[in-house]
Amino acid sequence: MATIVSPIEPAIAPSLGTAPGALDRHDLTDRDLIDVYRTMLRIRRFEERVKDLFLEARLYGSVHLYIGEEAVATAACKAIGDGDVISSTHRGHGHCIAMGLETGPMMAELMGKVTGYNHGKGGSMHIASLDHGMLGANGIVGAGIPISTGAALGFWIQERPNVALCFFGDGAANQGAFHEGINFAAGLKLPVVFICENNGYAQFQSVKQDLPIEHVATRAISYGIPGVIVQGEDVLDVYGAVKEAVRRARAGDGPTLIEAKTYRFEGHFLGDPEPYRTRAEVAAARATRDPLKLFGAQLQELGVATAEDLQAIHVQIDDEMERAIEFGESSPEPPASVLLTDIFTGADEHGRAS
Amino acid sequence: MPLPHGPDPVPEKFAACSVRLGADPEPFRVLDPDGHVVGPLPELDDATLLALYRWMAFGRALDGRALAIQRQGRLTVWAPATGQEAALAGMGLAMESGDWVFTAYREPLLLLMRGLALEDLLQYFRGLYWVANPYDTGAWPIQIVIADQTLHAVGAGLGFRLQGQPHVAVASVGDGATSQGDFYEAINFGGVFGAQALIYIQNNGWAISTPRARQSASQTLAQKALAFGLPGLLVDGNDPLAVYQVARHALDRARAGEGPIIVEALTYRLGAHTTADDPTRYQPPDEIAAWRGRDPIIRFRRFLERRGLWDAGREAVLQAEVLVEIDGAIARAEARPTPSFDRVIESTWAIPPPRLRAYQAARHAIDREETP
Ligand SMILES: Cc1ncc(C[n+]2csc(CCOP(=O)(O)OP(=O)(O)O)c2C)c(N)n1
Ligand SMILES: Cc1ncc(C[n+]2csc(CCOP(=O)(O)OP(=O)(O)O)c2C)c(N)n1
Ligand SMILES: [Mg+2]
Ligand SMILES: [Mg+2]
Repeated sequence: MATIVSPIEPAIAPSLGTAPGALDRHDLTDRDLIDVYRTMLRIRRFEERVKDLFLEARLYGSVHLYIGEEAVATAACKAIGDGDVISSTHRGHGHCIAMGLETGPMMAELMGKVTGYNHGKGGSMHIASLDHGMLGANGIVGAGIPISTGAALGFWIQERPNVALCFFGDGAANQGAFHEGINFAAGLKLPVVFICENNGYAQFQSVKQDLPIEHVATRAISYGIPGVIVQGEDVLDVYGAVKEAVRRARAGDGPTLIEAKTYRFEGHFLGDPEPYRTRAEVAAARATRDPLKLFGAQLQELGVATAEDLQAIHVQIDDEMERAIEFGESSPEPPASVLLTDIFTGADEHGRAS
Repeated sequence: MPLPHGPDPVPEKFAACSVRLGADPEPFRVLDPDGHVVGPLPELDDATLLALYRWMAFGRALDGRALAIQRQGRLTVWAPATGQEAALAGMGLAMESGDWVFTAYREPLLLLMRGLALEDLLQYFRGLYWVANPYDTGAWPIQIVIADQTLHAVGAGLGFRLQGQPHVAVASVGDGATSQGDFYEAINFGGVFGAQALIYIQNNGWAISTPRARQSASQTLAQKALAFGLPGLLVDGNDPLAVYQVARHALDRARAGEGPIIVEALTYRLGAHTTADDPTRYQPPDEIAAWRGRDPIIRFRRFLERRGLWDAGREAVLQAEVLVEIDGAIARAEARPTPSFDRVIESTWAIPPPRLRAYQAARHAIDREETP
C-alpha cells in the first residue's frame, strides 16, 4: 500500500511491500499483467545486453543502467495513455522501453547508427521520440522537471486532456529546477505527476548524506500538493499510486509528488568501482528487492501465468535482443551531412555556412 | 560534519508558530493592531523600546524623503518599505555586532541598523557604486538578483561555522524570492552542512504585481523549512516585539551551530514596489485599507503611549529630529565629488582582468583629451 504524506497528515514510514494474500491488481486484466511483465523483462535484458556490448567495446559513450528499477517506469507508463508524455533522465533506457520505443532503433542509437531514434547523434543520454510521447532522456540532472511542467502547461493552455509524467532521481530532488518546476506546476494545478526514483544514491553519494530529511515525498508540503511513498520494486504498488495521481491530474486537481523507494543494482555508470557501498548491501537488494522476481511470483500467485508461461516470454525477449543488436550493428553510421540537422531550426543555413 | 536530523524541539512560547507536519502554524504575536498586549513581552528596557520606535519612525521618514528626491531626479530609484518597518526593525534589533546581513533593495533600515552610514547607502541609490566596506559593519551590498543573497548568507554562515565564530549570517528576502531555485539550493545546502544562517522571508503579500497566492500553493512560506528538515517560524511582521523575540530565538539557534532556520514575517507593502510602479493597478483597495488598519508604527506607538513612554509632544520632536538627520545625510552625499570610474573597477576586482585594464587606459586617454 502506498503511504500518503499530505500537507495535513503526518508522514509515516512506508510499508515494505504488499502483504501476501492481499494483492491488488487494480484495473489490470490478465493480458495487461503479462504485458507489464514482458516490458520489465525487456528492460532488464536490454540493459544486460548493453552491459555486455559496452564491456566488449561494441558501443560507446557513458551508460547508466536501470537494472533493479524496472518496476517504476513500467508501472508508471502503464498508467497513462494516448497523447500523454514523459520526461526522463540520464538513466533513461527503461523509460523509453516502457513508453513503447523499440529496442532495435534504441540499440542503434546507443551504437551511434543512423537508424537510431536520433539518427545516432544522441546516444544513451539523449534518446527522444516525440511520436511515442517520450520527450527525452537528459544528461542534465533535474532538467526533465521544467520540461514536463512546460508540456503540462501546453496541455492546460490547449485544453487537452493529457498528462505529463516526470521521472527524476533523488539527487535531482536537490536541484533548484525541482523547486521551481514543482512550485510552478502546483501553483497552476498543471496536469503533471512527479515521480522521484529514490535509488539510494546520487552518483557516489548516499541519500543519507545529501538529503536532510528521510523522504523526498515530504517536500510536497512545500508546494501544497500530496506526497506519496511507494515501494519501487512492487510494480502493483507503483501502478496504483501513479494511476490515482494521473486521475487527479486529469481532473484538474494538480500535481502529485510520488517517491518510489528503489535500488540500483549496478554501478552509477558502467565502470563505477562502487567504493561507497558494500557488496553485501547490493547482494541483499538483489535477493529481496528484485522487481522481476517479485512480480513473477505475484503473477503465479494470482494464477495469471505459470512458470512455463514466463519462461516462454524469456525466450521471446532473448531472441528480440539478439535481433536488436544485429539491427544496430548492421546499420550504417550517419553521414557527415546530418551533423547539424535536428539541432537548429535554421539547420540548413548553419550547415551550409559551416 | 554530522547531518542535522530534523528540527529540534522549540521553546513552548514558539510551539504554535513553528511549522510541523499535521498542523498549520499560528503567527507569533505580542501586540494586537491597537497596541494592546496579547502575548508574552520581551525583556527590553524602556530606552531600548524607544530606540526601536525611533528606528521605525526613521524608516518611514526616510521613505518619504527618498521618494520626494527621486522625483526630483536626485536618486535613480527607491523601493519603499512603508508598512514593513516592524519586520525590519525587530530583526535589526535582535542581531548582534559581528552578525552579517545580506538583503535585497527594500531593507535599507536593516542595513542602517547594522551601522551602515545613510550617506554611504545613498550613493548607491544615486546611481554610484557601493562605497562602504562591508567588513566594517556586516551590512553587505544590496542584491538585485532575486533570492541570490540566500547563497551569500549560507556561504558566510558556513564560513562562521568552519572558523568557529559565534556569528550569524542573515539573508533577508521577499515572498517572491521563495520561488527561485537558488533559494532552494542555498537553504538545502546550508542545512546539510550546518551553516550558521537565518533565512528571513518578509512576506509583504506581493512580488511586484504577483500576489502571494499565485507565488506558491503552500499554506505558508515558513513551512518550506520542512523540505529541508529545518525549523520554520511564522510571525506577525507588523508587531515589532513579536518579530524581535522570534528573531532572537532564531539567531541564538543558528549561532549555536544547530543549522539554518527560516522565519516568515507576515506583513504588507503599503507603498509602490519601486518608484517605477503604480500599485493601484493591481492591489485591491479593500486589501490596502485592511492593512492600513494594521500599520506597525501606529500599533507600536499606541503600546508606548499606554505605558506612558510616548505622547504627541515627543512625536513632534522625533519627527523633526529624524528629518534633520536624513536631510543632513542627503546633503553630505550630494556634496561628495563624483567618484572616478576607476573606483568602480577597484571595488569589484582585486586584480582587474586585462580587458578591463585596457578599457581603463582608453578611458584615461579620453579624460585627458577632454580636460582643457
Ligand atoms: C546539473 C548536473 N549536475 C551534475 C551532474 C553529474 N551527475 C550525473 S548523474 C548524477 C547523480 C544523479 O543522481 P540521481 O538524481 O539520484 O539519479 P540516479 O543516477 O541515482 O538515477 C550527477 C550528479 C549532471 N549530469 N548534471
Ligand atoms: C532573478 C530575478 N528575476 C526577476 C527580477 C525582477 N524583480 C525585481 S523585484 C521582483 C519581485 C520580488 O518580490 P519579493 O521577493 O516578494 O520582494 P518585494 O519586492 O516584495 O520586497 C522581481 C520579480 C529580479 N530582480 N531578479
Ligand atoms: Mg539516485
Ligand atoms: Mg514581496
